[in-house]
Amino acid sequence: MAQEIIVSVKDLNVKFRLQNQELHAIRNVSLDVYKGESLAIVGESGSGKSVFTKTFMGLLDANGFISSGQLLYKGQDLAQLKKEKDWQKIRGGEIAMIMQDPMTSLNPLKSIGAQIAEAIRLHQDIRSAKEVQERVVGYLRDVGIPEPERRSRQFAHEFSGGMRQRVVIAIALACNPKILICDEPTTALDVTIQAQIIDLLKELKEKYHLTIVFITHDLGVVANIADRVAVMYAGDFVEIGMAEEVFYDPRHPYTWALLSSLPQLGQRGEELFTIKGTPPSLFKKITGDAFAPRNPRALKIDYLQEPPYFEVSPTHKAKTWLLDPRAPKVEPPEAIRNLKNLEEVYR
Amino acid sequence: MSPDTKNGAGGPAGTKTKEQPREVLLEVQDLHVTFGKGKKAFEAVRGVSFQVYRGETFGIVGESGSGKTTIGRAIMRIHPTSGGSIYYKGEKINGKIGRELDRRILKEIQMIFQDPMASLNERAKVDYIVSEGLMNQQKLSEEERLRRVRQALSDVGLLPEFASRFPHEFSGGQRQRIGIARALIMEPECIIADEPISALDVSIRAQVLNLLANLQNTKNITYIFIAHDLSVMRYFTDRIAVVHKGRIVELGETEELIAHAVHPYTRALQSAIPMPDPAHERTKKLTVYDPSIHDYDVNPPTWQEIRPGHFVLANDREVREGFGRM
Repeated sequence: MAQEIIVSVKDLNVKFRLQNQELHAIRNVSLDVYKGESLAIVGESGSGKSVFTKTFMGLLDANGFISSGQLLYKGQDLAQLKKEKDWQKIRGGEIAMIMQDPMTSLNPLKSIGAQIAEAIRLHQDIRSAKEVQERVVGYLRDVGIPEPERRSRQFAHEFSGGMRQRVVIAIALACNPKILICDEPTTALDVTIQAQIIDLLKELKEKYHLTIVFITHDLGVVANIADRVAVMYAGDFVEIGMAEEVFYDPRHPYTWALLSSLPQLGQRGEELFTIKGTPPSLFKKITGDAFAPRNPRALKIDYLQEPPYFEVSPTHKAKTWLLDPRAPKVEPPEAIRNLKNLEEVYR
Repeated sequence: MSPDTKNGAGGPAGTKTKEQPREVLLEVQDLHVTFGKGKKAFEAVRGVSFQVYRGETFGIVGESGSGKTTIGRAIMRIHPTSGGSIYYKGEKINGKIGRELDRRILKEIQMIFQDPMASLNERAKVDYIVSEGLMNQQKLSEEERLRRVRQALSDVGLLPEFASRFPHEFSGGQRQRIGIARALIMEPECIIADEPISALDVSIRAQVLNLLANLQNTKNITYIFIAHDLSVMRYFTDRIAVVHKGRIVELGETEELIAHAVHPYTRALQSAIPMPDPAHERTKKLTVYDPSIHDYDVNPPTWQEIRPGHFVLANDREVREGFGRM
């Protein structure tokens, strides 16, 4: 593909030290992020999706470290950055992040205008107070806050949850980033507000030429915003493909399971599909396919040997032995075979 | 799905047949709840009426701040009501009530809360958390109490030995199960579930919904299910009331309401449901509800039955013109 790569992750391993043990949170992951795309990273709590993106910004907890691998951004290997000073050149100005909970990510003691102005002064070459204020109002208008002049003088507690998330997005924009990482930005919000925030992110992505990395546990949410979807399980990507490929033609049993358990697909009077068991402990070495113990249709080889990526199309690959030519034919579950005609259920 | 699977056994839609006269378990009449006094008074619930039938799952859906949780809490007697009445099995349970009735309601109506991280006492063992309500109600021998705790834990799919652990040793899904066990041990007739799955991962959501459905089938519990997400409602409830700013704007049987929603607010909630279908999602037009489309100053709305069992808050012009369907 002719698309330009903006971040290239190569054989990345992230570990955490915990009471003389090592937790292997990210297990030898490689992924390219393309300029201008929106990439969704989907997985359960504890799958490592947040840890993965935190390494982009040097925000790992003190006991976490990159044990090997590369994180190439603009020819620089971010995995080698050690000093806070070096990271500060990346954070905000190059890569910015929106956190899950808008209730806790704003400073309650400063007006929201002052918080946006702070980001502008740090990351943009603007000095005149008047011009900064103009920018502040402009960003607030761009994120859809009515009466931006008046609202810029207000404090976080005067905003609703959805409006606070808009303010957080405005602060991120004020840093003038190339990449915007959104870590479950809508999980704490109502469905109606969630839909509005996703529409807003799509709009801003075009206006500010952003690359978006969107993290969520809910596959239902990403269908709208994602160009590509990467499904993470136990610290590894098990399936990566264009959104259409992952939704309409999923290949990994874990992707099947995630899709099948969506309440949107539930039939009244029938049990919802659930994934049995719990994710594997990352303190231990994982042999074979990490999902095998929870996969009712696992093959014998799944327990013995880790599957490689099998290419389904040039843009779609999955890490499952089911794609090996020697594997038996296993069909995806009935419920997810016809996602294209889903809306008829609701209208 | 074919319409006749609705009455099939084994699932949340449950075991009711239409012919049976339905017994009203709980009735709310013109409920008002006001917070604050004088100039600062805020009316969170403004004249809400509905009936809940025994054994059904009654859904209350609305955005944050719509008053849906306040309705649930008013029924639980957590918030005092400022007007209207709540009847449980024909007896009035709001305002001043007798000691005996109060005890009975505390036992028979239970609540499950949204955030399992915040709703369990961090310093108490599961054993205590689950049986606290029970011990307030009746004197039980230690042996009997432990037996009941073990039973409640195993009913929600937890191991009985978890009784001696602390909440921090559990995951979010397990904690929510502890919250459900705490309600179940009282042998309630009615459970108010306030957003019981919003704080959980998708895969855990399915487990908790299945658990609630199974408990309803085995113990014939009536649920009042409060949520902001219409897609969960469609799957889980028998009837839905849509609440906006302290008023019910539309109410009907779930399938009828989803298929023939008329109120613009219900339609906005519907359009916000995220679908796992990229082609549809990318082209969908989000409907945003704008209350200024109503001309209620000149033509105030009334509660109207537009189809059998399907009510909407609208004025005559809106009913005639079908809200000028978008």
